[in-house]
Amino acid sequence: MELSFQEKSIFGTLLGLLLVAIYFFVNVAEIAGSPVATDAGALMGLCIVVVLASIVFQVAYHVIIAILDRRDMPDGKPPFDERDARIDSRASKLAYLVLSIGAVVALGHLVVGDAVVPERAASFAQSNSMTAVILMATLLLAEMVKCVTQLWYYRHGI
Amino acid sequence: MASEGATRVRNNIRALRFHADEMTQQQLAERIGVTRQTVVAIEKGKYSPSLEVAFRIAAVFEVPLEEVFSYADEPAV
Repeated sequence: MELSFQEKSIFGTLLGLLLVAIYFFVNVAEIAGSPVATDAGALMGLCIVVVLASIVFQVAYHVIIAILDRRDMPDGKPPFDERDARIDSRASKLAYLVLSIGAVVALGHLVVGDAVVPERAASFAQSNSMTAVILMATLLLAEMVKCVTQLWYYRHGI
Repeated sequence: MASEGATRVRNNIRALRFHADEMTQQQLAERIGVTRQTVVAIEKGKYSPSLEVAFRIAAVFEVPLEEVFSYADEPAV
């Protein structure tokens, strides 16, 4: 199966997101189960690590495929035309929908949680940290949905 | 070839390339300013190009637009 530069790029992004998501949720489970269950500092540190790890992975991966595919980039830029733009636009629309739903769920958790449990730090699931986890999960999911949609359109047509 | 992304826009690009000294997909792609993968997708009926790219393709082969593209009642199968 021959993959274009764009497909390789998206596939790598998806792989990176999956690895980062696994790392994130394993650590969230540990934070949630520890005595410092509502330690916002631990969660913030985890979020920073996740974002940095994601950036480093993406940069390293794209440098490698750019070197391997340099023959297809005579002007040094990755090939990108109207079809790529159209696929990106459609996939972004779907990712935006996922992101919107996640934002509403996070807001709901924040507002309903306050109404039902005035003392927010009663458990991790009811804490403000959980709202941050929902938002981070939504960001990761939206990006993954975008990648899968793009790969679908590249393979099946648009 | 059946595909969910198949369009109703049919084309004769493969035949036109053959009659243009067997022009390669890469050569056509370079002349119309898109990637080779996009030319492949257009030929397979998996992508309907913009009007501008369609006109550029017709200009490369020096034929009217309707000799390159046609619109079918049913999606390509």
